[in-house]
Amino acid sequence: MDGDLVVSRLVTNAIAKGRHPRRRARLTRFAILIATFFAFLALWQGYVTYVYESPITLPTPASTWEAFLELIENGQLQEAIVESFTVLLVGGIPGVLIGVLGGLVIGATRPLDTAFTPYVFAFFATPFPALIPIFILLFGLGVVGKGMIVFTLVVTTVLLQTVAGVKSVDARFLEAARSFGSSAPRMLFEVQLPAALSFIVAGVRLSVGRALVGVVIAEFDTALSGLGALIFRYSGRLRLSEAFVPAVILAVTGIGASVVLRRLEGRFERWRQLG
Amino acid sequence: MSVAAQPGPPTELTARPSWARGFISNKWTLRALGLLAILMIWQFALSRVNPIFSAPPTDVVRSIPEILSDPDYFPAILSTVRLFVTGFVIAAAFGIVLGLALARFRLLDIALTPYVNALYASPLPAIVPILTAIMGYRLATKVLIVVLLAVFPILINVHQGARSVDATMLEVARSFRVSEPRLWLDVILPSSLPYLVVGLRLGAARGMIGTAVAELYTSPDGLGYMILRYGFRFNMDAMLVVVLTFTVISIALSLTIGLLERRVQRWTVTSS
Repeated sequence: MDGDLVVSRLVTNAIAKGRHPRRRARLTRFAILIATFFAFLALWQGYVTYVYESPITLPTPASTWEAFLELIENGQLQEAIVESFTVLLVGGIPGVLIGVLGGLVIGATRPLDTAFTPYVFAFFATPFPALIPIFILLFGLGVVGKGMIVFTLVVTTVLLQTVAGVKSVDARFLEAARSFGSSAPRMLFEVQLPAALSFIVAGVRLSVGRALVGVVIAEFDTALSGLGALIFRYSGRLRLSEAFVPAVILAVTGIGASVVLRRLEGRFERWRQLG
Repeated sequence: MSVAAQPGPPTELTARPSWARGFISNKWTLRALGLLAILMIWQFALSRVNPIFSAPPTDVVRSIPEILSDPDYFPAILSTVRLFVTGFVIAAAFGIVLGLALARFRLLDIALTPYVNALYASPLPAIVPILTAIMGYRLATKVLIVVLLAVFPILINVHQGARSVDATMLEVARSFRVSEPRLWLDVILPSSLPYLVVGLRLGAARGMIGTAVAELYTSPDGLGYMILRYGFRFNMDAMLVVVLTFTVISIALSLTIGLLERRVQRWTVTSS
């Protein structure tokens, strides 16, 4: 397997570079990670090729790779990616904006917080896949319907996090701003918003996960467009390798977004503290 | 004797009548007002968006008796709860064992933790049609979907909990030459309980999402089936009642685990 070659090269590189003990430890970790990955792929491929017996052909790493190339070549994958991401952006961007604004206002106004946050939370607690048939009935099967699903998922998550962020702002910041005669709107945007940013980014991170699930499920329903539809149609024809490709793309999107936003979260976390 | 104005209780002149103050600052009146506002917006604005499928709150309330008398309703709740509980218990067992294993064996931790985090961050319901194609329209498929969604938050939190055990406690245990199994059972597991409970709460929320996905997108069953059935008849009011049932189950679950959480936290505070 060329995978093993890559691993051994990585290991030799790691040993060659590893003069500093800490760097060497990190490289060893990385080598173990890569080795686990390829070991997993090899086990999977081996199990399906040599052990598993069934009328259904299971996807293997190799067949998924072939299916990936094939779907790229006939353009289905690119088309589906564009369709799904259009929905995510169309619903997600207004969702984040309105969620942050609404959360700032509600979080800074005690009576509004008491009056509305419990209901937003109740909505948030609803297992959202149950709502998707209703959204499709209300807003149709197109970009609007799916965009509304994404919008609703994002706006509730971001709003709740923003409210929590605004409420957790260090009271000393507020006192300092107030004693300099800051007006309430200025305080909201120049003190409470920056201090709540790490919470807001966490909200965006959580809502990306929910939105991806929402889009895929809605696309199962319509089976017309997007990555979810590809998964649904190819699974129905038992061409599981082709069905697996969009699922991997979605997973990579979710993981990538989560890693990037977590970094950002850590950076903004510093703004919450004094000194 | 100074007569400087002192911030004290508001005088009769400036204060609002006490009943008004009580009315505005009482959280239950505020919540009732909030609910009223939401219902008004729903009744008068949202129903205009799509008059054919609109479901103003008055209609939804009116359809509650109809659904309660539907012979499928309570069996549907039962089957939804059963699916969730089965999946959740399996997920909790796996999550606890795997989480402790990751904390115990350093090699496992290095090799697997990033992948566990990756799976946690990926939209797992995307593989539901593939799982269904492989495993068939069986109960096992649905349980697997619930387990897949619920297991990762439990696992990750148990792992973190076991890693953040107080070093002094470990030292004391070691100086008493506590055996390894007893160390895990009597020291590490109890002190990671608060983390476990948080994991259980997150896992329960995701498990409910998995339950809904499984009941809507494999072979329809339980409350998911009721939603689809009313959907085919364009009976929006009834659909909403079923969704509200899902909401009530989730909130009840979350409150129960929250209660557990408070109890566990109190217990750890007093013991340290």
